[in-house]
Amino acid sequence: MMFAHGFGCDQHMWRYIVPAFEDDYKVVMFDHVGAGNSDLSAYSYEKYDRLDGYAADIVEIATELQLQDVIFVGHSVSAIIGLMAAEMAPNIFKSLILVAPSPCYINDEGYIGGFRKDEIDELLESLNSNHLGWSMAMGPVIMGNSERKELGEELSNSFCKTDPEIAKHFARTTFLTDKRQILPHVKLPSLILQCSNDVIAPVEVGEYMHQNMPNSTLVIMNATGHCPNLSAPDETTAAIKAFLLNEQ
Amino acid sequence: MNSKIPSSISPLAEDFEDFFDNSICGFIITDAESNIQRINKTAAKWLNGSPDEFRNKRFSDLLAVGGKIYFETHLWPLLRMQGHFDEVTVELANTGNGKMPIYLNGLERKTNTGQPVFMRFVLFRATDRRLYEQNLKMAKQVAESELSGEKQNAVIREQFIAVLGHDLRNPLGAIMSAAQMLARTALAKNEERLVKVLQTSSKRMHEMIDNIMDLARGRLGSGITINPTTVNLDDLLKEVAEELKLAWPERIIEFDFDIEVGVNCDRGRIAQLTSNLLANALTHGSTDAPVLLKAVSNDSYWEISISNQGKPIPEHSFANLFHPFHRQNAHSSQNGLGLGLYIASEIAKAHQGQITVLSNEQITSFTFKVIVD
Repeated sequence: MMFAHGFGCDQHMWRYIVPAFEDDYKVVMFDHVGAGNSDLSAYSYEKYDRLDGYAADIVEIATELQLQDVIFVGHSVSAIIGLMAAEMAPNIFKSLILVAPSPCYINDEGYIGGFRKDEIDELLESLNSNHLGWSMAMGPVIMGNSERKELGEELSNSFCKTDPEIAKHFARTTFLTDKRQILPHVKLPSLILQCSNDVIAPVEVGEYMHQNMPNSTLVIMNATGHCPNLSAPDETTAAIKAFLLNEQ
Repeated sequence: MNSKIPSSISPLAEDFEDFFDNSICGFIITDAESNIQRINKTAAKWLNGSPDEFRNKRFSDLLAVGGKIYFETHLWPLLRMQGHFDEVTVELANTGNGKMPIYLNGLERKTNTGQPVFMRFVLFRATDRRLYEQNLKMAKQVAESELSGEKQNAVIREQFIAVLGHDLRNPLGAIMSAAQMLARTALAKNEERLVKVLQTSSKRMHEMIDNIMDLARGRLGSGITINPTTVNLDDLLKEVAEELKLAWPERIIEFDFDIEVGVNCDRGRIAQLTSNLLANALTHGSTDAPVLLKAVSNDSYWEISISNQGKPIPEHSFANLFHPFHRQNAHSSQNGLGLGLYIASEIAKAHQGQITVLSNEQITSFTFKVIVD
């Protein structure tokens, strides 16, 4: 099982889910390049200008570790990255588990993505002008100051570290993506875990994906928000286990 | 604040209900899913409503879209994983009068079994702070763009110097050969003196142009390159001293050589270094005392040292002594461009050597030393 974290976080976000699978599966977790403890020097503005760059990384990890029959679990934008990786290298994957996925965040004719174009522009603008907490003050810690920090400082920034410049670019790549056209091509058994009341990926998005993916199962969870893996780990784990049992 | 406090109340009897509602910052308490359970009057007022209207709204719905997405993808996970976050800048979406920047701190409370129960948020108005930050950011941008413009100008200036220096060489070369040809003809005493002036002055000019071009080359990134051969220091130093005596005929240069072996160096560059240091000593040293040119070479090191008597180098000059365009005496017309010591130190560096300076009431000496591996 390969777990891929979404925008704004790192592999820590699977901490309440992974223990339930460790005994039965070989578990692979990673931080996307630019997130968490990844090597920031490996970040390329050219490669990661499109989600294909991230999808290629997933195929590379699977190839390097000689993984087969991979159950791919992707949260948020990584769910879509997983679909793309499965299209690039269909033989590696066995099934796809998509947690709070969205193929397109911007509303379109006959499609509800959750955001208007001008709202996404506002998000990108607020990242641009450094309005948010991805502040310069966090910079030295994020940039991997080689000296050891005292414990307090280490702790307060040990999760979901984000370099402001990279976060900005990742946000642009993520929120301007429209991958609706690949949904019908996905032939692998897929589980769509849709939260109730998720401002990032509303219920309509989960339903749209389910309608357009021939071999998909849709589960609408009681969990609210965008991170059921954190807010409702038991419900999330149970839904994944039920799906995997059904697929055997 | 709207509600009145009885005049008889003592500060110790502070009503915590009142403290919560009528505070200088916004307080919001949500359930574990971040649905608002309680919001104080201050925060509700900022949001252009009353506390009841916000009950059971999702916390991120209060924020402008950037903060909303940031909250759901980053801050909320952070709360769940590390229990708190501090000093995050977001904006309240709807105050009835546009957006309002705030600082947001968050804390999650768990039961003793680790079950999250509720979250607390504290909101601070940050309108002025945001303005201040924006001003800082703009100032930084302006400074950066000015700096990059200046850097471009500097490169253009240095390219100009390099081209100018190069173009001056040809006509000067013609003057020098003409002077040399004139010197070979039979001349009257007076004419001979004039030709001598032509020769020494044009030679000095030639050296200045060389220095300028070396400076431009160093600044443009290629540095001083050397082409080392085995050199007999004795010959080289005497030649340089002879040349300088042409310009300072009345001065005495004394030698003190202890040269055991030939040294591996760029002949032309070491001549230039020595000439610059000697010219410096002749210019600044006392006119009635000789300048001493010392040289040592053996298997472990070689050095060239030039000493003069006279006024010591002022203390404040030391730091900039080897900087380009530094002039020790602003009033002296003999100073040239102030490139001599800079070029000498660049040549020293190119030879993996060092120039050290000693200056006191008795003596001022510059020593160039290279350790032989």
